[in-house]
Amino acid sequence: MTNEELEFCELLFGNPKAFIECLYSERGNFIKWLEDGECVKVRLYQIPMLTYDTVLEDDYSLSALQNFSLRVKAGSKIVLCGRRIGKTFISLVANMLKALIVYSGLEMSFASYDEQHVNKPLDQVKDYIKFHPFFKYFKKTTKGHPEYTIETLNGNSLYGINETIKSSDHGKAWWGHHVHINFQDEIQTETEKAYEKKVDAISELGCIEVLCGIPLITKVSPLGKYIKNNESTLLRLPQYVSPYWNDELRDKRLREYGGQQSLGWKVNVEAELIEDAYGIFDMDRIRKCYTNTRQIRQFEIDKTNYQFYKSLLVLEPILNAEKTYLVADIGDVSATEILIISKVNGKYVITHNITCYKLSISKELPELISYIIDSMGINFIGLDTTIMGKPIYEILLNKYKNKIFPCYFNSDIVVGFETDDNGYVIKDKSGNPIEKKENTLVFSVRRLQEMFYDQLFEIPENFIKLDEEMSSYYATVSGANRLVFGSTTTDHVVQALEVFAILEWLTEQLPVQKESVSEKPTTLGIFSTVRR
Amino acid sequence: MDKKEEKKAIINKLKGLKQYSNLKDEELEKIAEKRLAGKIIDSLVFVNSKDEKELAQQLYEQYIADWGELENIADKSVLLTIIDLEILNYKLKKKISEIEAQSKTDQSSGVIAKDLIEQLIRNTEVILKLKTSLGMTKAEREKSQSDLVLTLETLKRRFRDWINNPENKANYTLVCPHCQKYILIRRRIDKEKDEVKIHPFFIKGGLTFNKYLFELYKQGKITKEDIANVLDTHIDYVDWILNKIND
Repeated sequence: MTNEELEFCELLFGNPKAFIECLYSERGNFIKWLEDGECVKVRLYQIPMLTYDTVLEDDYSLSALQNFSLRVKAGSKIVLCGRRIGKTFISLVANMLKALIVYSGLEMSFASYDEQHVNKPLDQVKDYIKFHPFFKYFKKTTKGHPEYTIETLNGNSLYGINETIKSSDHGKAWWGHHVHINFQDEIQTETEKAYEKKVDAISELGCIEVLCGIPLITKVSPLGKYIKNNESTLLRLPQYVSPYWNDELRDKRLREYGGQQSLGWKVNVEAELIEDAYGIFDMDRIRKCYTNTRQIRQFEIDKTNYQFYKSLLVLEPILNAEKTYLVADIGDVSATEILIISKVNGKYVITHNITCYKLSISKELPELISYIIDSMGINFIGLDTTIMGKPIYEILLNKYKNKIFPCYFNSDIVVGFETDDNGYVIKDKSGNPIEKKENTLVFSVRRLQEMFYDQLFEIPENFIKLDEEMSSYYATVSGANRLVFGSTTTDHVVQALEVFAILEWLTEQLPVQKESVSEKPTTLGIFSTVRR
Repeated sequence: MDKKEEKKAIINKLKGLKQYSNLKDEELEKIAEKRLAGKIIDSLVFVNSKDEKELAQQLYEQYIADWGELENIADKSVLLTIIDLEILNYKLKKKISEIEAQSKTDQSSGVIAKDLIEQLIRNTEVILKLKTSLGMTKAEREKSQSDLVLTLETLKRRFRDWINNPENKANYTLVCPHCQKYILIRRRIDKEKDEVKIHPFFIKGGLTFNKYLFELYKQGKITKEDIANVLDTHIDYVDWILNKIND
């Protein structure tokens, strides 16, 4: 390289926007870069997503620690934005590639909460380093899944860190690292346990951290701490900021997330800071119900393959099941989730999951559900009748009169009977026990927790959708001191399970309670001793 | 010794060394795995004696140092074949030199067999071909260098086009490493020094927007649509910012 070329590199490397706009061609189209193909254009709102630590020159009057501290301040960022505005590419992939080229001799990491989220951005970085006409000259080694390692000839190493939040040992992969720069995605999912291990894995000079995610601060997440300590580096942008946002997309998102008041809309679209949210389910205890001895049978039926549903669905009654239940969360434009749960050896085993898209509520869905009920020999059926499921319930009611139960989440349900201080059931003047009622949704969540924590469920390990939905199900307390449930993704499987919790309560638990109350009291003169 | 036992032996050996005494078991395991992965002797056919083993390992490490780690199995296997053939060459050469040395002292000893020489030549040709396939020859290196020149020229041209764009020429954004605020450096051709300005992207509580544009809107000089057009965004974003400012 000539001196002129070195000066040119200095100019280019010192300008993050220029670096990206001159070098980053679309992935999979690298060869076109040499043929003057289009490069990525940094949008106006993406400028604050770039890291400016690479702009600085070392000040020789300062120590290495002091110089790096300045870089930490200029380069650290917390990017909590709505989805699909380019935050992963600009804040993570682009900044990672820039750091790999501009620095030398540094250890870097890219972390996220599971394998899938580590793989995707690092695969992009790996592709650039391997195949891009410019970046490939810096390649020393590139190792892919499962232990991502990208080493450049200028002495940098980038490691993929899977924080394995779904396992019992969060953040184990941080062991043995001492990173100077850490890029992290889905920071809202990081747990205190993983954070503690990460703290020990930073270099002695400090660590530039680029943390991305959605603005959901749960009670167990260290994200609140990050924001408190680095408020000036926080960037928050809603999905509206994208030039591709339009009215049609807005309607689509509203339908997907269930309205402007839903948690999903607030965090994924509006980038609204939700604090003190808490995950409803303790995933460590839920995962104790997972089994690898069974496989779930999953099917997808939509309007294109609906006519062949009888040949697509492989349905046979579970032979050793004491009872079999069908529960469904009915969606109109969103998905309808049907679960088949069998009681085998005292445990509720989820055997089938049928997902339906855009089937008509008046004909196709009732016909399909009816076919499943008959083929599987279903004993009890529960439908979410809060909004869309009502017509289906009414259609099926004639055929399955004593088997089908509606579930209205917006009303109250009998959860037991009022008792006095001594535990005796209180009765009204006509001798009927006074019922105790609770909101159906709140009760179903509580009941579901009890059933999972008592390990009454047996969930096939390959039912990944359930794990994802249950870990994204949150509650916040509203201004009126009411519990508001929501999900950062979809929650149809969770809602189907909530229907099951109610169905199980109505068919198994409540009859037992009613029976015990209606038992003839032992008469001791004028005193009656009705048992609880 | 199988791989598991070998790994255990390496870990035990590392534990005894002072520089590794502070490391946890997981870290030692990683180092042991790395060492095991670098051991290639088991995969070679022509390596028998101790000095051949040492030579093969040296060659492998030298190739990796010169050309970098090969990430795919096919390339790795080619490299191992090269090393195997290099060892065969070493053996052939050793044999030839032994015969030659013997012939100097003992006139009755045999001459170097033609087959031996032919085998050496054929072997060298195969090594050369394999090295070419991995891009390890001078010609390949020169081709790679001419590609590098082309790449640098492309980059220079792209940067020249970029910097000559008026939008990029005059402005330069960075973050102050002391106060962490955004700074805008404005280049002025009529002035000797660049101007350092507070960046118009006002960032407060994580929000970023151009505060002057919103002031103009509040004064009634421009509409929400104007702001959306200037910022190349949707009017919903303008409303979102206005709500946040008013909060």
